[in-house]
Amino acid sequence: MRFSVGTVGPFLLPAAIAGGAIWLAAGEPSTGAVVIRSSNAAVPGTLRIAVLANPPNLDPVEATDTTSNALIRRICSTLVGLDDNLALAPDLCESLPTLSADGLQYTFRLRAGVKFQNGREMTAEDVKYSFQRLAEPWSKRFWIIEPVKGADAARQSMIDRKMDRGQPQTPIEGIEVLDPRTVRITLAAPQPLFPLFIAMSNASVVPREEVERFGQRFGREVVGTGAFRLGEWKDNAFVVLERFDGYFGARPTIAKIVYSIMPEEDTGYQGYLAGEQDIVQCPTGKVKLIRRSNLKDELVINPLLDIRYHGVNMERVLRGAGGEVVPLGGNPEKADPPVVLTSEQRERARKLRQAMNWAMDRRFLCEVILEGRAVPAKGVIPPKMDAFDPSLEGYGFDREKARRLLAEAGFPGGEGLPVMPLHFNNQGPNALIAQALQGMLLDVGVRTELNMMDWGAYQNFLDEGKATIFRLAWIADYPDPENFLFVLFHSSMKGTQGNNARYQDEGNDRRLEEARGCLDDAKRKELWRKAEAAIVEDAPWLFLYHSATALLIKPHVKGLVLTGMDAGSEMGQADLGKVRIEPAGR
Amino acid sequence: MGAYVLRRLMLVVPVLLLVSLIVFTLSYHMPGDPARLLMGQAADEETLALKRAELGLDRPFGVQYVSYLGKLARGDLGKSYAKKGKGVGEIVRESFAVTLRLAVLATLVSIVFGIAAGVAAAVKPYSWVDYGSMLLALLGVSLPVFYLGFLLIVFVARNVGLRTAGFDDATLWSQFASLLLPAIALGALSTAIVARLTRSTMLEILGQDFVRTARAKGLAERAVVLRHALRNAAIPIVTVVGANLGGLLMGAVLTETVFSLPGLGREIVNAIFQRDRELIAGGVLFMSLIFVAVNLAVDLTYAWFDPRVRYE
Repeated sequence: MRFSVGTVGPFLLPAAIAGGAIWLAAGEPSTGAVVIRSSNAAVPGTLRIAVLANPPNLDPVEATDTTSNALIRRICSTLVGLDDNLALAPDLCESLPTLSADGLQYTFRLRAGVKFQNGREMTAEDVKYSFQRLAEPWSKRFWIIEPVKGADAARQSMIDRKMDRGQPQTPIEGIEVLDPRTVRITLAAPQPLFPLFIAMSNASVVPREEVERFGQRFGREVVGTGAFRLGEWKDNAFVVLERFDGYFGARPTIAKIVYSIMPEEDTGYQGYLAGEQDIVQCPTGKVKLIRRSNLKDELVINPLLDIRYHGVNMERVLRGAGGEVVPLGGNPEKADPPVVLTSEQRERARKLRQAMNWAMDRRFLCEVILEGRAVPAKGVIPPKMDAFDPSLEGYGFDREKARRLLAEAGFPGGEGLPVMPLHFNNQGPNALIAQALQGMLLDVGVRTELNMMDWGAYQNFLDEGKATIFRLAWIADYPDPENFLFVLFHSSMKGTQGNNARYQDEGNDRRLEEARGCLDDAKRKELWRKAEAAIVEDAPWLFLYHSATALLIKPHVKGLVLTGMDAGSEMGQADLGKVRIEPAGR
Repeated sequence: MGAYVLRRLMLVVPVLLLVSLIVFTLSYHMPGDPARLLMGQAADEETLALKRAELGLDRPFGVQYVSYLGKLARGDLGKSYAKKGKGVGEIVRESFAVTLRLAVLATLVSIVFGIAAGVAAAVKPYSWVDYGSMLLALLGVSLPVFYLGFLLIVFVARNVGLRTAGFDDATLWSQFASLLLPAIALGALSTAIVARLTRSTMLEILGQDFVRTARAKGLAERAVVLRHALRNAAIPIVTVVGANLGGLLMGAVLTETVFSLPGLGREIVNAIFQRDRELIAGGVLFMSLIFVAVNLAVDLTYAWFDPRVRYE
């Protein structure tokens, strides 16, 4: 048989495509050491970081996303901040504030000679002005200043008179300027966490004249007293921060930070390998490979102060095939229409939730799906937090126990249990986690139906209380258990404010309030632990894992100390002023 | 021809009105609350209500739409909710500048390589040149743009020292270097279509009598192919190139995402995720305008290629 171009041609193409596909799909070998070609090119004095998102708004009182907050942290300063161990440390103040005996008055003594990036010296009036901005109608973080005496009234006054930007603020009674370098803040009631609240970048001190000059554009032209000033910013492309030579603290060794906005993790990774980036997020699915490669020493797994969970809507009512009530949540009397459970039904509901918790193979989620970038959660408080209770047993992985509890709840083998909707948003590994959970629950007889939504629609869905089982995560705003337990479980925070499980229990509220108001640190810790243990026992969530950020950091980046609040490559807490770029051979 | 152009331009007004209504209606009814997305994960109801009032989202749909049309009539595309302090016009202008460069470069890639491959394949049909060109064309049609983009980053950018991603607008050369690989990835599909179309049209034309006459007159083969045959094959090619350019100018979200380019497509997709209604509406309106303009320009070029074409 003769083969001509005409006869062979049609077969060549599929063969070429198939061959190419096999070659590409094969990728790197799955075992053994791997060599990844990577350039260590450095730009002296410049730190190059790939971030996934464009910062939408750099006005401290309007920023809520991690990227914006990370940049504000570099451009601005706060009265007090957090050190590398996440302990409170003076920033714009000479020392930590003094507290009056009644726990109500904080006095802050400012450093002398602190300059804004526009050249003007910062005074106590700027602190007062900046704190009052937190109460303005468009502020997204009013709760930071809410404990201050008169803050509620001032905010209400500004709302009532329909205050516009640039108009005079209503003064907050509890903020007093004693002299150009001293501010006294009086709280309405003792709040031991207040210094932590104002350590958030949202409470940064900014110059009034620049806010008034730029109006709404201040979020794009932010001026502060930080180690770096805002340089060129091209939306969705890059943001440059330049060293501020008039900075009051130690002069940073790097002259510039360039944040490249790269929404695709793999693109940032290729840029890293090409020597175009110094720090990138390690792409999902690459951690195991990197660990076996020549780049293993450049991989940094940084555990976070966070919790990832699937909540159970405690107000939701499930109905069986015959329309009968299937107890799942603890307080469906708040549902619409309300359903009153007997104490026996309540106990059955609790056993059902506990059974689902025992069915979770958290190690599989952490080791296989998340490639070791997470640790199984026993409760709510992350392991890196001081109040973490190592003796808390939580839920292990025990299918037999899960089946037994399910039978005790009245659903042997899942019989009589309707299919439960499980909702999640379409980001990161959420779909994989949800599928794994579905399998784990099915193994003990609990059937679920998966529903994926985009974040905007998902948030609305949760706000309206329509979810039954739902995925969420919480990353610490400040390093204290209050930010987890009170925000996520107190009945006053139900719905949009954090308690999406709509958990309501009088005993729990009492325990949380007692812990929140306690001024004795050691006692507070014990109270938080007690409150956490009771919540875990009641199981309003499927407690899943505490995650970690996986970063690739070039060997020439020295002096970087990451904390549990440095989520993503933005690193919202780390002091980049201490970073040095030291190319090999220099 | 002047009357024809005027008539076509006048049609733009109802088209844009209709587009604005459709986009505004869809974004209004899309699940998700812009205020909620802006205020973060733990915002109380009072704060959310204030934000809705600030953005004017607490007004009925009709009032919001009419107010938006009023702004449009004054040439104001509105303000972005998410990018505080930035006007939609400014955002569209900045991002379109990148998209325009990318689209033009991708179109040039498709014209140069597509026509060259198509002509070569038609001049030597059923040869290795023909099969090779059409194999590449098939790959161009088959490979998804994001996949081709990654292949170019991994195997080309890092080996020839081009930027892997990002847009550097410092100099003309840096712009070209930033956009070359994205343009190849984005233009691959158009190149393939143009190559296949050129081949089939040229094959048909090269068999016609006037081509035989030209050859009989003793014209060089190059002149026969390029001056006579290719010019006659141009109208369908121009139509396809024009339609592709219109599509490319509307933003290429996948290419822009893979190569981290700050283009219009990415901007609008981000706006959709943020429920940034005025940016969505302004962006889509601008895209519609561009599409209409490109189509009109394509229609007007027909007369240049074929003097028999008349505009009534």
